[in-house]
Amino acid sequence: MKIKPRLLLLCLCIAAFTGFSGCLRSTEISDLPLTLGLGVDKSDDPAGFKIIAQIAKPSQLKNPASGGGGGSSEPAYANFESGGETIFDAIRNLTKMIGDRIFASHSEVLLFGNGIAREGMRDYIDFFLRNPDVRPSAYIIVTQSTVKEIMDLKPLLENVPVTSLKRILKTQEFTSETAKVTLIEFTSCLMSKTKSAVAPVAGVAENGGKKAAFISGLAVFKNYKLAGTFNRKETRGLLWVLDKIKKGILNVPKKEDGKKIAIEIISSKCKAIPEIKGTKLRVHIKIREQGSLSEQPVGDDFISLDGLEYLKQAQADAIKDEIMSAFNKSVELKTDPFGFGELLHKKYPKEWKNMEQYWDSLYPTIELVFDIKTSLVKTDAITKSVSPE
Amino acid sequence: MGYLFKKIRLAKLLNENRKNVDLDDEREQKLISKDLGENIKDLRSVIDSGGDIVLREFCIGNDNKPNAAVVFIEGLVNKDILDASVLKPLMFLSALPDKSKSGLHDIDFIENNLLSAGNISRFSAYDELIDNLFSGEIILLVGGASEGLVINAFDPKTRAVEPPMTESVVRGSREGFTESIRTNISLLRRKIKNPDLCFEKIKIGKKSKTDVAVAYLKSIADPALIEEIKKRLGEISIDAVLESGYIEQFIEDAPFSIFPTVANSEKPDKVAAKLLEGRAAIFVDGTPFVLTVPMLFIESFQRSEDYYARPYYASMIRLIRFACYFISVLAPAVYIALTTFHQELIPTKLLLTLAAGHEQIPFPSVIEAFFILTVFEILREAGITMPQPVGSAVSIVGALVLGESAVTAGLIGPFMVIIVALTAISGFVVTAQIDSATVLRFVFLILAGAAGGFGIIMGMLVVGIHLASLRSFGIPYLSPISPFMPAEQKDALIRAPLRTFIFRPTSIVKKNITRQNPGALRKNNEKNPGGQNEN
Repeated sequence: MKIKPRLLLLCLCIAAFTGFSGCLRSTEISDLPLTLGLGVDKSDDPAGFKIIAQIAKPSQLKNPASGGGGGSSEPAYANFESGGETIFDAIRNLTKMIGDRIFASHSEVLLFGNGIAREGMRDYIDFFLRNPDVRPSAYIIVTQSTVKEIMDLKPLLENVPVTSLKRILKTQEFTSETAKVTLIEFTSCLMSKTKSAVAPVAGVAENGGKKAAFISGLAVFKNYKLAGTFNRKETRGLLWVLDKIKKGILNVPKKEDGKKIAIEIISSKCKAIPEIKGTKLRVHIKIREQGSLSEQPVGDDFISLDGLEYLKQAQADAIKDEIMSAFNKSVELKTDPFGFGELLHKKYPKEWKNMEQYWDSLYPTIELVFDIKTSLVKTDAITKSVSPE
Repeated sequence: MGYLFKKIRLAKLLNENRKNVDLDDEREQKLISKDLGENIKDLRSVIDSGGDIVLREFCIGNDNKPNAAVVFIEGLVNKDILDASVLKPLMFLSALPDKSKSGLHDIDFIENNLLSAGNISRFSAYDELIDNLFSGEIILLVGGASEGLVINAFDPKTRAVEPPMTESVVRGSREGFTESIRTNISLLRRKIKNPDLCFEKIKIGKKSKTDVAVAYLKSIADPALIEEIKKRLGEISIDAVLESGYIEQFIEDAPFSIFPTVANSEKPDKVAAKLLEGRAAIFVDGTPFVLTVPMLFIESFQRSEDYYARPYYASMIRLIRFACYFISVLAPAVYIALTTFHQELIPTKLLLTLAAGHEQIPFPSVIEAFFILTVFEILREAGITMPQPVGSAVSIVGALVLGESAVTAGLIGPFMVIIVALTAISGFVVTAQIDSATVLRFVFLILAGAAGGFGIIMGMLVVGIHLASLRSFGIPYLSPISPFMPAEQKDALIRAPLRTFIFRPTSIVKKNITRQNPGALRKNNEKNPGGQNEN
């Protein structure tokens, strides 16, 4: 008699466990619409926008070789467009075409059209933050023209356009001329009153008669709205101050004839320290950089004290030049992508309270004080350039 | 109500049975008679029922009438001993003229002066006669004596000592135990040549009268442990013991647990090592598997070769063994949980590959996994049961025909085959826990299919709590990991160099814990620093 209630309890537990846990979503992977990228762009709808979802076709991905290099094989993805009154409405409307709810956890890239960016991201960003499926680590990209153009462009090497975009973003550190910006980073800038959010810009370029997507430069936002874009030089200048430079090429001119010498950045450390002196605002920018001599005009010899000294100085000048051009551009766009306002807020919380409302007019008056120390640590495989004895 | 009736009926049945058992036990102590003829008459009924029993009457001295008899079982006794050491001296030497006639029928004279066999004992009870007869001894009955003699000549046909089937090694002793308990005991004795090693023999099984011996090292083993083992063995009242598995199931601490709490081995060196760690071994006649208790969970992951190889590789391989156990229990479950519940945890590229592999499969992944795991168990069972040549055919059919063509036909996914193959192979690495791993594998698969990662965690909690609550002869099953014993970590997840094993595992050994004298080693090192450098 003793064992019976216990046995009953056990049976109940098992039944409850298997029964009640049924509310968890269990789906076979092959049934999931694996969404690799989501895009938002302007449309002629009354709501003014549309959603584009790029969904993988795994069976096409399986044998890329059998297609035989050409464009004749079926693409490994399908794009679905849909509109709605809200983003979520539009996304659920996709279900009517696809046959299941899209599975957005693997959307590694979120694309926003130029029109949406100009109009302002305010109305579109909330869904992506609130939805538990969308990763906060998804990359934000702003397109130069329409999102559709980028998402429809079959990459030359990869199978899926958005996967190719992600790969390009991941390797930006070799040039440091654009930046990876995740959804959460982007949002944290939107939460600041003064710091401007930035996002990489994707465009389409001709490549030997075929079109190819590229990512270069940064879009700079002011209050959710696109204020303008930084070109590659200005982007690099911004990244120096944000301490996000990993690698990249500095082209410095030769003293005599202005021929370019390529110096690869090996490492860089930057610290920006704001200072209030009387009524003047200063930001000390302290940079420690190491480079390697990677290319030089044949015949010249830089392996001397004077030569090395010149290259060091030339690097510092180039860095300073890049930062100044970025700063000037930001003044022109009336934005603060460097986050100097935030730095001041942290260091001078009392004074900041008075400054905050005048920040737009105070920003252009900031004086940048440079402390750049560079060094040349190696010359790669050869030291002196080849020359006849 | 029905349950109650059933219980009453069961109680009645048990009562009746107990009466029968009592009758069996209460047979009166019958002594053998001084009259040889009467004894033989008594024996007739036994002899007639078994065709293998031989009774030979003969004369001691110059008498004309048979005045003595030997009884033995053909095939169990050594004929040489019977002929040369028993019959010959009794029949010829006793007839020599210079022998004192008076002593010929004196059983002391026969035992001390005539019989040239090594091991002789006496008996007076009839039951003893029967017991010894069926144990394969020669029984000598002499007319006019109230006692009989037992001449030890037990020599059954046994298998030669061969490499063990279940525990093959690359390095180390290739001897394996055999079915004969005497051979087994002698194999162990050869490993530990010390009076410390003692064997306590008992017979278990009312009908089978199986020889069982408890072996331990007197100076190391905990006396309480030996008492407990003997108590539990004494409580067994089964009719026959055919294998050590019978004993195991009657003495284990948790008979309903899926985890074994009694270890077994076929290797004398392994059993010797366990005795030296304070454990006790139980030898059972008729099986090469010797039980050792208490058993710890980590014992399943230790192999004799761990101690014969140098520590680096031994430690690495032991860690892999732990990993294998987890793989063999959890791999299908984790795969199911990830692919049907937590797709966001799979890297994108892998997810796409997995999705492509599962695209045309008509079954849900859980059914698919269940199916292949069951097929694997069927193949394993068939492979073991079949004779060796057919067994390999079974595995070829299983691997090629079933596996390969099921994938090509699109019934099962290629990834599931990989997962199940990995699971199966990993399971074979930890042989001591194959049973538990196989059962748990299916349990976790169901849990994962029903509730994903949540189910797996719940299952692991239950199994973890159960493992922590298990004990083997008073020793916590998970020691030395839980309760944590820092000193014993040298031989838990990794195997430290032997020279650091200064003490025996204190979770088992309570006295005499020093295994080696570290001072001697250090002195040795100082004497020739060049030769004995560590690191």
